[in-house]
Amino acid sequence: MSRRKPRLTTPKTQPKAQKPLSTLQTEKSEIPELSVTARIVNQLDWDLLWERFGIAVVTIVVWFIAGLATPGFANVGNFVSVLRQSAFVGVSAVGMTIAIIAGTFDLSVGATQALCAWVAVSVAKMAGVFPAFLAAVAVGGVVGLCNGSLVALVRIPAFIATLGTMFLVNGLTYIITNGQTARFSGKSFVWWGNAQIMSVPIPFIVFLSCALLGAAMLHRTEFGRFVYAIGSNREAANIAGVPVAKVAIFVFVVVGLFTGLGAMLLGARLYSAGPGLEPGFELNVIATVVLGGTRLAGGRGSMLGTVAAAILFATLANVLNLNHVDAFVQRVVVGLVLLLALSVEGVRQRLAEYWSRRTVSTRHPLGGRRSAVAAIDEFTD
Amino acid sequence: MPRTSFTLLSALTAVMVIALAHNSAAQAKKKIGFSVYDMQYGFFQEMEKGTREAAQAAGYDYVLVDQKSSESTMVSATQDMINQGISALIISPFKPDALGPIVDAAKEKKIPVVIDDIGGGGTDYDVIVISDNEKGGVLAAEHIDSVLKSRQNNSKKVASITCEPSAVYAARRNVGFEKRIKELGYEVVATLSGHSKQEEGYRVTKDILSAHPDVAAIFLGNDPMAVGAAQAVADSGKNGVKDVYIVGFNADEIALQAIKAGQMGATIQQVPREMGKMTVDLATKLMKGEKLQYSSTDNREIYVPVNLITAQEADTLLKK
Amino acid sequence: MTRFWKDGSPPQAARPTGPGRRRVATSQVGLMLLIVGAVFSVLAPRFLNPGNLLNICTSASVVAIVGLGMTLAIASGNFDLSVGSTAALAGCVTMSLVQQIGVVPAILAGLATGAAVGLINGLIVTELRVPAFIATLGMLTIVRGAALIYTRGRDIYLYGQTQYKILSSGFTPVLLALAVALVLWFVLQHTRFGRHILATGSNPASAQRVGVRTSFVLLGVFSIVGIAAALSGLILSAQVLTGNGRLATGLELSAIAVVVLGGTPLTGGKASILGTLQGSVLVAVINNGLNLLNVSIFYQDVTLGLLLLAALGLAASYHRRIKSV
Repeated sequence: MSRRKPRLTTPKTQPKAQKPLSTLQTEKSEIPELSVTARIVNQLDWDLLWERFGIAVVTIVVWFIAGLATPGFANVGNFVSVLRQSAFVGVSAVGMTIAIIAGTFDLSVGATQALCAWVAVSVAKMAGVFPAFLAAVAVGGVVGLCNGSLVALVRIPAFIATLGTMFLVNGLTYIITNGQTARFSGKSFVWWGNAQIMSVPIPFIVFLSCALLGAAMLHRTEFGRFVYAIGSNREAANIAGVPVAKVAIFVFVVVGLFTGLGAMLLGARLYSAGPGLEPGFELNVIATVVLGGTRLAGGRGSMLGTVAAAILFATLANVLNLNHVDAFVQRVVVGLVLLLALSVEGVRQRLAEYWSRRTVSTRHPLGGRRSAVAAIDEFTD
Repeated sequence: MPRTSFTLLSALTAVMVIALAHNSAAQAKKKIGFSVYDMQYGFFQEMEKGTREAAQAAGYDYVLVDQKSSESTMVSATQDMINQGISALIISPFKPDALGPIVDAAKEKKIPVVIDDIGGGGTDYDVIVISDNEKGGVLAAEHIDSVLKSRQNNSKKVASITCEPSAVYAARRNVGFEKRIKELGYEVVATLSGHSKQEEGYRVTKDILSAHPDVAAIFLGNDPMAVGAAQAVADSGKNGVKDVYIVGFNADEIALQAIKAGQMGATIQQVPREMGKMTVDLATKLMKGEKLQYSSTDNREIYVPVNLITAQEADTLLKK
Repeated sequence: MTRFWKDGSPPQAARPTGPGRRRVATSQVGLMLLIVGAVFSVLAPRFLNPGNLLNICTSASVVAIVGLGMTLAIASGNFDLSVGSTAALAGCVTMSLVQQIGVVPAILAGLATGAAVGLINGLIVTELRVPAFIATLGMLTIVRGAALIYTRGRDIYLYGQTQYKILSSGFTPVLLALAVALVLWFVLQHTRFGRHILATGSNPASAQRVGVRTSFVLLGVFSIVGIAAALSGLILSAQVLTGNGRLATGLELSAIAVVVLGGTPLTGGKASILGTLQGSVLVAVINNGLNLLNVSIFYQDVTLGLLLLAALGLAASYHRRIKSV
């Protein structure tokens, strides 16, 4: 056992002298000069920014261009119309956003909307606006409860469970209504679908409130945190103690509640409601949510994006009509817009990969452990 | 940064002001707006053609919106059209029950509302040009009766295939048909829905022929389904005139061709092109403030006759 | 009783489809088919007529063909919602060309159209990295619009075309469906491509690392789906001898329904060809039976919904009992 202290430095090598401050500047010259803008660009997470705000920016740009290029777009009456039209898909989309963030989705919203709208109109005729609201929302909630139970308790994949419910509710609506449409034009009822407050349409105000409510649910409640947890990784959430089944059921109930509310607004707007209302509605809602930046894989999403996407779709339909675009061509344009907007991330990714010449992409485009579709069925295994 | 945002903001405001000013320029020619049920169907293509030609002949500007079989689109697109400033509205509504907000909006702008077929939804329109769907069904029933009476086989069985369940006004065709045919002593062995689709008409007819090989006649709510049915009958080794008498509705071109080729018995003709022209004339009168002559003053209806088209008439119609 | 594997591949990972679990899923559809068939034979007088049975098989074949394509897509972990529109476009293209270039070239043109649409779908998914659900949702409207623009909204009715009619008469649709089923089964079971499809479906990232060219696999899969959809569309348009842009609306949901009924899991990685066939027959039997019994259309929707839920509910509860073993 030597008492000699271990030498930390050999005598031959001297510890490096502290570099004077002036030499730091020479060090910097080894790094390529980047302007402030370039460095900001490098720092930002463009994917996240696009996901959160992309569609909002696109919508503003589209409004701008439309205001210049399309005669008749830039007037108050038209803005009112566009905002109002965005609300009917939008309110449902708020609920659907929560569902998709949770990693699932609901194909039965179209059929539910028809049923709830009919209920709203019929009850409004008999008992007034507030009972109609309660009834519509309640019916929506019940359907949501059924969906949730099927998915979380019986463990049927959400796609099929809600597809089945869609057929069921559709048929039920026809049976209850005997195929007839209910009509009601009471002023206090239709006010909710058609009136404006200071040139802002009521349905849009309701839509924004719902979006705020939805965002609050997602960001400020425990339920919201559970939703994000389940959407990101269901098994991990389960192990961590999240009551997955209960949250799942509640998610579907929320979807149903919002759909019921949107249905009442639609019934008020149309002064009527009946079976077969808006076939294809569910796909519109899902497209709106996904366009808004919430990806089907779940775990992340943007309520602002949903609002912007709803407005964007309504704007698109409006602008196409104002420009007298042929109805068949309109279908192509709407599909193209959807595809284009969703290709942005993929294109950006590929460009980034190409420029950085990475040989192995750390994020597989089709998803990590499972594909995006599989993520939807997280509740089922 | 504040300086750039200020410049941006003022640029934005300037642009908006210019755009608004541009938009408020007055319009000289009168504009007729036509809102159509769904341009996917031949019937409405004909109606649109008639309306457009009449409007242009009368010297109006013409604008079209397609409701694409959606009541929500019907209301929003038509209201947008009204907002753009039209002098008269002609509408063939997908869901007449949802006409309320449209008529209210039109009334607010003092625009006359002319409804072209389907229904009026109980609203305060100015006039509706309507072909009697129910009477068309009755006509079909009576024609089938006259054809079958002169036949050897005594089968009293007929079938009725409806359009899609949400088309409640087209459903009246089958209602009228079934009521009248039962009065005439026949049995309606099947009432099924073909969802207005041609391939469904085919499939459902095949099933009906399977269940009731001795069915003598089939009435279908629209011509695409009827043509499908004619093919189904042919595929079963029978003929759509001699064995199972097929009657459609609309007098679409494909049905006329099928009738001429002897594959189908008859169709009930509505006259969409003439109805389109009629609506433009009525709109002109309303814009001038003239009083209209109604067929039925209660509901401000003007009836358009429906005609039975059999082989003889089909030939002439096709040549047009 | 056969042994059942847990979720996930059996130890012999080389075999893409495990025997036990597959038999469980398909036997349920088969069982339901027998029960429903028995019920209808009793209730509906002419159900067991040979003509009626051919009827059932024909309408089953139409959905089966596109369903088989969809099985492949779902096995690879994707959806294709544009099959209805593709069917319509193919039908329109073929019908417009039959009289100019002859029946067989026109059919080939229609199938090529389907392949082209499928290829575009595949490119959007692999190159633009858009999730298949949304990509095909967008293509649904685009292709439908394209079909309507192509025909200018008109119907093309070729009422004298006996040659083309062969595609839909007699046993041809059934034979075509069986042929497609055989080919796809062979591809899945015995070719490398098939195994790659299943690998891509169960775990794309791992598959790629192992050397599977997932992009090419998906391009192939979507092209096959497109061709299958086109074939269904051709048969439908041959039935009614008309090409119109409204054909086959809603076909995609029927296709997915029969695939799921047949036991192919939506998570991908496994495929049941026989199950899809049985699912198609089951749906056709139900539609036919309800029509024979003259049941109102309202109740037919309800029945279909209940059927889907019942079938899947049974499957799910069965699998849960398996898992607890």
